[in-house]
Amino acid sequence: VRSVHVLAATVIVGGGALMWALALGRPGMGPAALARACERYEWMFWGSLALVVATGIGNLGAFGDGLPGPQTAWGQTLQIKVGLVVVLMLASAVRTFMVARLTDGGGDTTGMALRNLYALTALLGVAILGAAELLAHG
Amino acid sequence: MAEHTVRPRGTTLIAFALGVLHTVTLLVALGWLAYRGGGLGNALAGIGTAVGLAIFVGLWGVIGVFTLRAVRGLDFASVTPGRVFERGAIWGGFNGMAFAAPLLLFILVAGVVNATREGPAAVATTAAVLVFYVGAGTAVSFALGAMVGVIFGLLDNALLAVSRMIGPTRAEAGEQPVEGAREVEASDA
Repeated sequence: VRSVHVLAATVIVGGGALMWALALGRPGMGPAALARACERYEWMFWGSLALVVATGIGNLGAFGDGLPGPQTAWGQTLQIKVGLVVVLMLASAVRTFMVARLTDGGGDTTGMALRNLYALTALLGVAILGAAELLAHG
Repeated sequence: MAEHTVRPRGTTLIAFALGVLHTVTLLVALGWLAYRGGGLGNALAGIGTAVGLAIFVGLWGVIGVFTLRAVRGLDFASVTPGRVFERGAIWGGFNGMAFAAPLLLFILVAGVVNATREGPAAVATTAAVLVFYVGAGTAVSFALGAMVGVIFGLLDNALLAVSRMIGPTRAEAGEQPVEGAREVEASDA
């Protein structure tokens, strides 16, 4: 369960960073190919997010009665992590609406807004990984 | 009738994304409430990994199907907030019924089976009473589902508004109408 959790998180963060890089420079990549990559990333992102949440809940279940409370430092870090996941999810829904709207009509996916949303995805992903590191190793 | 233009790829992607968004939002909200109340660890430990994953997949599947149905035929470049609320309320209501249906059916069947021990008259009386309660339960589950659907409609409208505000419109992006798009009858809603 933990391996799937980490792998799915890698797809979200790594994919977000890759899309950010592609939207910035798109070396040797035409707008149509970039649009297809954007669309594919959206599918992978939401599938991976579902896996991350399902396995994340499983990880919490492994604590059982020993799950530290919300007032402890661990509990507060957990709530910050979940809060960041919610922000990532909401920002990503905005991004998906934009990608779906643009790719459907063959529009340009290299706009500033989309580029910034990929940057936000990657940066929020890194922040969530930092919180996860704190939860796992203190 | 731009609102009814089907854009298969975009609509399916949005349905998939919103299905995950709604499922995760529901689970995070319920999980957070349970965590603050101190009962999350116990509840999760009692469920176990396999059952927990099965519950998640089931929840995701049902919400996903009704989300797909709710967004079918909508053009997210031009859909109005009222239309999103309307679809959210209707299909959220059906979603609520789908969650309650197995439980209500189980109560009905178990009640009637138990009553068979007491004779045909008891079966008829029990069935009549249970059908009334199951009907009431179905109506309540529809109302609750519709309420949740409206809340998610509010969330979806807000996210859609932000995406329209910060992103280019189709016209600005120089997009052409989608080839092969078809019109859906209004009754499809």
